[in-house]
Amino acid sequence: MAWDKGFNFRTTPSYVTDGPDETYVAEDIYPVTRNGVTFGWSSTISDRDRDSTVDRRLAGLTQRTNDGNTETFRVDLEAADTYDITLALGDTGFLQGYQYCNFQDDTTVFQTIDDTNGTAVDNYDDATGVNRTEANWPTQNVKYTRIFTSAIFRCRIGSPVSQANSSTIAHLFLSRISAEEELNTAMLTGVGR
Amino acid sequence: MATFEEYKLAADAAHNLEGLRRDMRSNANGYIRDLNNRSLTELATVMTQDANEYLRRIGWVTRLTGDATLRAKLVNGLTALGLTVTEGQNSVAELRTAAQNLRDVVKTTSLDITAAANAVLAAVSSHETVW
Repeated sequence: MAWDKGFNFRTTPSYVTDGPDETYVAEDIYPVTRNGVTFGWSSTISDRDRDSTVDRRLAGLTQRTNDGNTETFRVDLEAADTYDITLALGDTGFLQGYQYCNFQDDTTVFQTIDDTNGTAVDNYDDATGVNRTEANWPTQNVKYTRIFTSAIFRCRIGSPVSQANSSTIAHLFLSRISAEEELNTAMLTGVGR
Repeated sequence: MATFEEYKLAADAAHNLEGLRRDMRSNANGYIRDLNNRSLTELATVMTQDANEYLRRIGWVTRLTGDATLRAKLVNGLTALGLTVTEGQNSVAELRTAAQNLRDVVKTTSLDITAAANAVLAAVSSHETVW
């Protein structure tokens, strides 16, 4: 059974139609169970509907003002295993002068996106921290692969010290890669885990 | 008299069970609504995954009740809040039975899925909310 879970951050659930394996996140405080997964923010946080005409995954966002405080989005994984992580950190409506986000395997930080010059309007940092335009993000964004030792994924947004504007997350997707699939990839590429 | 830790354990347990009740009913309505825009296979998969998540969340509470030390803390916290252990146990039983049935029931046809969703709505009572 595939475990692919996408999260589209926005205010209004019906603002756009989510794709397969996706659900909206509208100020959901942990724990919420929807679409076969338990998730949520650590505390109340603000979100926005931005533009329903763009890619559904980029139509809205959740924002954390870069005032030195952070908020954490938690996802309970199916099990400790290997997962691909897709991210869109940006804003289709406004420039954001600084973007900060990190990924955690329970409490262990394994990826940090510290974008000191932020994102222009219609631009997004992907899971590897590379800036993509709104037009290019759907086809060019690069996933980050992690072998989790826990079954808890956390995504923390907001700069640790005061910076300009807000860190804004539009989309997050977690996909469990089965051991069989990993083995096939290793056999085809000669690359092991 | 309860400690802050005991209060937090009891409040989190009650919050989790009430939130789970809300999610189970909301998702059950969603399954019926989604019959028009998701495949039966997708829906059946999500329903089973939801059921497993419900049981995981119930497990957070039964971990407390299954350990003598934690149970004593939970009881102190519940008592301080004016809540009874019996109500908590009844809630766990109600939600667990519905979750297990949802996990195990056949979900092949649209009729199966509608029946499974309606079974959740019938088994999990609706609680009043402020908003």
